[in-house]
Amino acid sequence: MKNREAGMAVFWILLGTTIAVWSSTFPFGNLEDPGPGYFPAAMGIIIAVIGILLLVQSRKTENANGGAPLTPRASRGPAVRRVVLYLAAMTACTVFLEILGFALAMFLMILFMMRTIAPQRWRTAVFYSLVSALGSLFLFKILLKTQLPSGFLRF
Amino acid sequence: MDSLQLMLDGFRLVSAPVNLLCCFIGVVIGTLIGVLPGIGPVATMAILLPFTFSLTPVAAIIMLAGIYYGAQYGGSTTSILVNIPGEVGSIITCLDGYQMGRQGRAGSALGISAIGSFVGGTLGVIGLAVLCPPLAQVALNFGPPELFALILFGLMMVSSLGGDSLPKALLMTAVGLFVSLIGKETFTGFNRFTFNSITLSDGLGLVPVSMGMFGISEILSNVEMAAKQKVIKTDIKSLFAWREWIACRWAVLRGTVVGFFIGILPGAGAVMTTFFAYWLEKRVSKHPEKFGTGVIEGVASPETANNSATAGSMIPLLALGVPATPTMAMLMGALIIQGVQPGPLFITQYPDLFWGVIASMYLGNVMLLILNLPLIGIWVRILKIPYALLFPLITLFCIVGVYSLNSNVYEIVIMIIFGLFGYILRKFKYPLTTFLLGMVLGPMMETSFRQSLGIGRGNLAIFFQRRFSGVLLCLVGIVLLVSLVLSLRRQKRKFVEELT
Repeated sequence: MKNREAGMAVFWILLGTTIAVWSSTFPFGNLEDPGPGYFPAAMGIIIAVIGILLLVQSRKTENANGGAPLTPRASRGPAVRRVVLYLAAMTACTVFLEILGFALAMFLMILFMMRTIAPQRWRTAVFYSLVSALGSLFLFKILLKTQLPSGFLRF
Repeated sequence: MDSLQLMLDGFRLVSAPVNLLCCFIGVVIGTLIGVLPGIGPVATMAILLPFTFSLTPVAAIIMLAGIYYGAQYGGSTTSILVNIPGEVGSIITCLDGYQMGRQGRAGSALGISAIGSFVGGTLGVIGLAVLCPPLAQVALNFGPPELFALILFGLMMVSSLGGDSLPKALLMTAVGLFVSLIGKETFTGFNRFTFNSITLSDGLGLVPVSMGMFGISEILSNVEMAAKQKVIKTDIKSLFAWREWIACRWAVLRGTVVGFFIGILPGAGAVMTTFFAYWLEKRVSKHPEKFGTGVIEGVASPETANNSATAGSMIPLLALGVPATPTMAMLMGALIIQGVQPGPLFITQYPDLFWGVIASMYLGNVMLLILNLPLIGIWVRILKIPYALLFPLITLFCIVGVYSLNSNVYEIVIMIIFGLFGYILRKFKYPLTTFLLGMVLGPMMETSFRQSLGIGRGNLAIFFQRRFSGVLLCLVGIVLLVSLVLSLRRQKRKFVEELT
């Protein structure tokens, strides 16, 4: 689909329909004593209806600008790469957080971010990651007694 | 007399070392994030929310409120020195503030914005203390139908004023309401949309969702842009330009009044408040043509208004239990997490908390004045910290904040998912603020709706049989109709422009 706004509108229609259909499987009750399905069903219908409205609007825009895609300029090439790398770093950190422990996971995540997303020299990146990981460990785990995973290193 | 006594009690409460420290930390962090473009008070409050759980409700709210009004102080610094608003409430300050900076009068602009913020903030708090209790007294007569109508009115106002596109704003409100419904339902304990997950049956927490939607998505947008800012070299020593300050005393007073009363309106927010204050100043000025070229009134009035509005926007939350802005929605979430329900009974049930927060705002404004005038040099230096060093640290804070809630990594996953979701929505210009309001008000709205139908024995006319709710629902209809007409006109104009 050329027009991304239209794609987004279709997403809302599908989401709204799914919510409405799913809600219809919940107890509905009656108007005097509404059940748990009432309110979410209404939300689903509202989302789907507004989605249809947005789809109609996006078709008009598409016709006006000759079907040119509304792709934001920045969302290409290196910019997309930085976003994907950032999300990958966070996801990997989450997956390995309890195995590696807080300090090591944070050290690796920050090091990765500083080498790939906003490239810094190795020395700067290692120093900054180390200080951030150990500093936050001291602040949160030792000073504020926050529950943070210790991992196989047990600290 | 009673109020005076309660206010004195409030000051006594705030003078406890822990509360004073929390107020100080709040205003310092607020100024800091106000100075730094790319991170706003909503994201900061979301990030710091888990760290307030171990505090008393008074200390927690004092700190979070400090972040809110502190950010309004700090936001002007970047507008004046970098031409990038640190805060949405300082967008208009760029017009004359940056020009003043380029003319070597940055000190004067920073000085008047600090003084104006102090005057606006302090007088606004007086207005809050005077107006809030009687309004809460009136609201004590509200039942579920009135509450439902009030929430609907608030959501509709925020949606109609909150963005360029009314359908998008309404859609985000509905999505926020839907997200709040995920999990165990309060009436019967029925699990909704949980996929049999234990994490989801507790509902989607405000902290992971708001941190994702506001914190992570903001980082993603900044990481994508890889923006760098240049600080202009200008004179910031001559802060005390007394003659200029005296000349714009009326601008400061006008900004205070405009900011306070527009701040009360649900959805008006800092942008509309400051734009209106600027517009008014231009209208009454003897030299309107000079606005935009470095006129000090163009800095004084909006900077005063955005601080006065912080006090005004607290009135709907504290007196009626309906947040007028996303920041207030965060504050409401924090209160609920602390076991305190804002609303008409708030002032009578928690007088210490109410008057403590008011007293803390007086003290906070004094602290901010002291912090902002002599320490401007430090804030300027902080401005030079590259974002490359900031975003990994903010990410770390987000992860610690979410994990420390329940030691549950799945909540970090929820944060990442909502971060990506928020980032995509930002790209398509969907207003995230209405989502947050919907999410915070969702459970209350559903409860009041179902209770109202119970009271009315299934008759929907119950909402119109009560005078207040009837009037509010009529207003909802009018607001919706007017916004729809305006939105259609805007669309039509855009369509014609694109064709030609």
